[in-house]
Amino acid sequence: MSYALRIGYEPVVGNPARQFLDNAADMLDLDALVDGFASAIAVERAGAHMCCAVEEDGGLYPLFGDMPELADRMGAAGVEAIEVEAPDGTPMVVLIAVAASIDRRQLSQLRLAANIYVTHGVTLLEAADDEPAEGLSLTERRCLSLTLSGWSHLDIGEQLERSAPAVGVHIRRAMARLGAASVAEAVSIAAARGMISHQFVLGA
Amino acid sequence: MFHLITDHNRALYRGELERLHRARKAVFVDELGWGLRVRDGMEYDEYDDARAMHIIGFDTAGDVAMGIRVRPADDRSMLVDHFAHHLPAGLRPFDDGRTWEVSRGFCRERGIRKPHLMRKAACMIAPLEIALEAGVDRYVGFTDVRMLNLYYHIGWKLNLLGDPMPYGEGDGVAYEAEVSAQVVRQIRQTWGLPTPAHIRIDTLDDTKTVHEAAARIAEADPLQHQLLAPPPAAPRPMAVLRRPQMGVV
Repeated sequence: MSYALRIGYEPVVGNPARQFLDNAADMLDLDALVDGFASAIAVERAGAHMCCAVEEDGGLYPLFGDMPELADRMGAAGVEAIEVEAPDGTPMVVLIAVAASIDRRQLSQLRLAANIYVTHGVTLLEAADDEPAEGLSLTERRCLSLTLSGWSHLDIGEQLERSAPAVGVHIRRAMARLGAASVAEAVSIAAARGMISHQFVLGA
Repeated sequence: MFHLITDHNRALYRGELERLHRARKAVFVDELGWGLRVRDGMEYDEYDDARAMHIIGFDTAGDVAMGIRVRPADDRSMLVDHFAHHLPAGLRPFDDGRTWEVSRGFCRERGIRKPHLMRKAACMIAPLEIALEAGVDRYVGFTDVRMLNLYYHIGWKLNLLGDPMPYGEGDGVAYEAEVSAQVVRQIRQTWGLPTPAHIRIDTLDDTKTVHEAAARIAEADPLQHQLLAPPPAAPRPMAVLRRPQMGVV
């Protein structure tokens, strides 16, 4: 055992963004994620924010956040621009209105939170869906039906033109709506209620 | 395909391991600018010992496209040896016999088509598969925060430890990752991976190289065949962020 293993643990100041960091991966709603990120960065004296895709000409396309106007203030004083690569390789930037005196520690916290924000935010944006009046949305039914047929999320995503993790979001939402503790249980409940079947495939 | 290299089959991979260490030098020293020890154009550290296990994915030319190192953390670990002051109090000890460390992960392969996604997922599920088989229930590691998207995207369940810290050209953060049958099952279901996603070649039999032996496995197993390297992807129209897609210390 190395020396540090025995004596190396020192208390550290709690991460002020801890709640966001711990919960972001489980969020199924983009608005809730935006609110969570806003609360997390507020602890670091940051204000409004906007996540934007970087277009081929270098322009910014606002995607999600609480202040779209920030997309026109890239490079302005008091606006921190954090570059992040989305999971599909798309260059993104998170613009955050910050206090002028932001220090290195705060910047590290913002970068960490921004990376997690973009990762999950892009997936939730992809998984945008109609809110069903009751039961499951059409996309959720399709995802569960194809799961029942043994498809991987990657293959389902190819059919639905979205990423595998976005398919996972649809399935997790379906589980939540059905009160299911597992995918298998969700499929079972949905099948029992006639919401899905092997024949219920794309457009059928 | 993804080769698992341990102390048992290391002799078969002498040339491949040399290429791995050259690739690590190219990624971590040349591209990321980390001040690591380089010898004869290759990057090595004190954790590249007999207990280290490597998972390597090769491209169509047989060069190293992606790699990751895992190692039991019961005697020493990079996280404790170098970043202990950033670990929170009360953390489960690393010398409990159920903890391994993951490090030096990188991916030089670009592309978002199905074969590329499956290969990245295969490289990331392999450490979980072999740890699970060994009775390990946790990985620990330290990663650049820019690389967290890959972990989450593939489906690793992370618990970030302590605060992020400036490191190299960016910021790093320590983490522990769940190793469980459920996580492995979910990743497999998400990406449609074979069981297991890696191959282990302990003897060449009548083949001449590990690549020939791997090709023979691929011929017999359609799922493994899907993990063969695809032809090189067309250049991307723009690359604002030029960096490897995965990089853990």
